[in-house]
Amino acid sequence: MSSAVLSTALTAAGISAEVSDEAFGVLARVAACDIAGALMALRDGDGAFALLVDLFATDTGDELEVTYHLRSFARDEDAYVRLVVQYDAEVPSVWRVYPAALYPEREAAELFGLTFPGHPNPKRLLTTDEVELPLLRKSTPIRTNEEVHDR
Amino acid sequence: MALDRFLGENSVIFTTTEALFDKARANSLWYLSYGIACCAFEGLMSAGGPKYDYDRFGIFHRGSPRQADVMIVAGTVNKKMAHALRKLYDQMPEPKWVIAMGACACTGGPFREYPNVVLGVDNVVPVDVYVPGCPPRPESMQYGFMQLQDKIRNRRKEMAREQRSA
Repeated sequence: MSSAVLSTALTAAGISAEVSDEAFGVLARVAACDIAGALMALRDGDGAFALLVDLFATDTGDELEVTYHLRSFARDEDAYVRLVVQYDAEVPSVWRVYPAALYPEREAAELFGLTFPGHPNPKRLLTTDEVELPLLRKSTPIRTNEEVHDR
Repeated sequence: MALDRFLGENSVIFTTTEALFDKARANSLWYLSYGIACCAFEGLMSAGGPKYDYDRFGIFHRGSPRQADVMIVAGTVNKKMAHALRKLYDQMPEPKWVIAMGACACTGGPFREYPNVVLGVDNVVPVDVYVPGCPPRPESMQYGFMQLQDKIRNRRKEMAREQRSA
């Protein structure tokens, strides 16, 4: 079972995590400051999660969730690591553990207003400087019907 | 020559070179392959393929804006893409035309509420023909091209009419 592997690897690294079986797979919830250590433990531990498939942020309405989707080819299993932060929070960049995080971190930073300290190239990825808002937050206003009609 | 069929043999026509060129231009509309969304499948690929066959109108795709006469804007344009769109349009040689294909290019379409989306490409480049639909069928694009051909053929006539009325 992947959940046992996850909790063993994280406990061995001295990281407190809540591991649960969700509908989409095995999920480990960790604190934001532990994320780089947690991912390193999963990459190098028994789980051998060699690949970061994706990194994405979600706005729950109260706070932001950042989810790391990992893949283990050795075990043919997926795992998810999630941390919960406040709006405009700082999440340590994990690009030294998984270089694949470089692009999705830039995307999450611009679309959700997060900052990833340690990122070597914290530029925008998808939008231009004319777009100031963190577009995918729930609080970002969409255009009203009047604005669309008066285009 | 084809003109003889309409005018009889050894006939003489009086026209301006620009009006004559416009007749030729209308039958040689090379469009820029600039597909940015699902409309490209309908308006550029399917319509350009053997079933709908743009080639018989003299409409043919080009990979470079330097060789293109028409730009088909086939898809949603966001604010970042608008810069690229404008640059490609500026690179096309005169005379040039733009067809806004589909709901997104005409008005913003289903993505109109999103603040990052340009509400119609006429905010970025001048548009000659709007083709509604989501996406339009290849037949609609062919009709749009026929409208554009009419517009090009009658361009000098329209200009002369405007000058007379002004």
